[in-house]
Amino acid sequence: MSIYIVQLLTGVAYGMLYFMIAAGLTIILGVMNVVNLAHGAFFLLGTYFAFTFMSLHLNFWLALLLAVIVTAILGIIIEKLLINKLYGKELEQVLLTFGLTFVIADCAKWIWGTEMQTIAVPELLNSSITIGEMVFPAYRLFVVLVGCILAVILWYLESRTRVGAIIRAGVDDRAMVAALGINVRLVFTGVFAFGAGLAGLSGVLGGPLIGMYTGMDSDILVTSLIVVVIGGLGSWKGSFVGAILIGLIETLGKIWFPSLSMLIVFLLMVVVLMIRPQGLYGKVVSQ
Amino acid sequence: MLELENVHAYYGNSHILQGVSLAVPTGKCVALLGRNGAGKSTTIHTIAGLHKSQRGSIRFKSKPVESLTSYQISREGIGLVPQGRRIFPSLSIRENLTMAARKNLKGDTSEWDIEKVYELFPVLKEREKNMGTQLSGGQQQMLAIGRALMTDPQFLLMDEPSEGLAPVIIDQIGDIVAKLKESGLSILMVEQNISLACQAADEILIMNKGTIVWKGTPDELLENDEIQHKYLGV
Repeated sequence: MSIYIVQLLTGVAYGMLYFMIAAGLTIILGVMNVVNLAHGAFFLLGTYFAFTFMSLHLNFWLALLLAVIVTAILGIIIEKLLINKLYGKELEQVLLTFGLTFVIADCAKWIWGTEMQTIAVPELLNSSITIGEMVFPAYRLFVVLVGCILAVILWYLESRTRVGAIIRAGVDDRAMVAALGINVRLVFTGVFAFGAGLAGLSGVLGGPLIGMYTGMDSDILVTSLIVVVIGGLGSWKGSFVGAILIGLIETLGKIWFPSLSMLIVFLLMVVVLMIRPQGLYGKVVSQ
Repeated sequence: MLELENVHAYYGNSHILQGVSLAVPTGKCVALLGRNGAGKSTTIHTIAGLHKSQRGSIRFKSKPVESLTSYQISREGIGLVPQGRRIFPSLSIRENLTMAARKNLKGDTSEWDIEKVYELFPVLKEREKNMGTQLSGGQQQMLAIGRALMTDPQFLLMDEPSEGLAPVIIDQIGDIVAKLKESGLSILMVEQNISLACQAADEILIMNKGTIVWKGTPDELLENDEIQHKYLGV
């Protein structure tokens, strides 16, 4: 029994990583109407940047901070330089962001090589907490904690600040927000950078759990797209629930039906879409 | 205060505005009447920057604004009360107002803030925690007006404020417009409701097929059955 409880923690920890990346993806989708297929690449870059900073003998925490900042800045550059030109052109956006994933993945191979690497668990958290027979790795507890704190921060930003109100209004009616004197383009850049930073954060925190390898960007992108679909487009709350669900199902699936774990994840998506086509927390769009 | 000169605008291949020229003097309310499809809303959208004109000039306080984006136009001091109110359903009434709030960028003292809007529309304060769409049509119209006032405009564009409202509420809207004018705002209003337009406006313009075809005072319009019949279908 206790092994399952420990696995539950692992599942939730993975779920929190999915939440961090999917939250950015879904907010970008909701506010900017952009399906950012390059979002997995930000995750990958977060991990690799942190790896580089740590190999320069910075500690984990500083590397984490710097990696998130650099990923967010890269997000600003990509939004300003490329995505900026393609608002309202869905097909072009898909081609652009899909193309970016290849460019970034190849650059990563060129810079960091194709060897599988990991990021060491920071010393502070390199221990475990024992309750009865159960041993919980402290780092996984930490990741769960960060995910929960992030959810609280997102809730606060969304429901208690003017920026949050502007962003919600932007999801409702973008043109009207602009007609009230708000620079929607600037909001978009901010949202994109925020989302990229979150994906970077997820990548760094995932480093000690998932490691870093070529192709991790597309793996995580597929999972986080499923999370977004299950949770409902544009709803980070839905992503929170959906990500934990996926994390748990994937982890427990690997124990019970090792060869079917990915299939079960897709099955869950199919079931959710059959019962609630708009996703768990999605709004029914009426236009 | 606002001058349009020979403005042309298209939707795809349709030539909607075919050389619109009009002027709204400071402190006056001008009403734009006309049948559906005459180009009234397009005129409002073009001034607000939601739709781009292809030719012609739009000047606000003598400054050309036709090439500005809609947020820049709003910051120049043009507030929009759009057709269908376009209240943000995900926001509470208070948030609908505060999200639009702006420190006056021009430096002079801010005319409108949330307290003043609540003073003008006490019902909004009573229900400020409710979501915007839980209001009645008339209250939503007040919210849409309040939201535009929060941007501290000198000029208001009102697109069919009477649409879908009961006659007694339409009278209230007329009173509100009179109060706004007293406060020094200049207003360009698009209307289908002739009596509201004649009650609120200093000058009436009639639009047909993308141009202004008649101009006069409310009294002149009310006396002129032929014009009413020809362009307004009365």
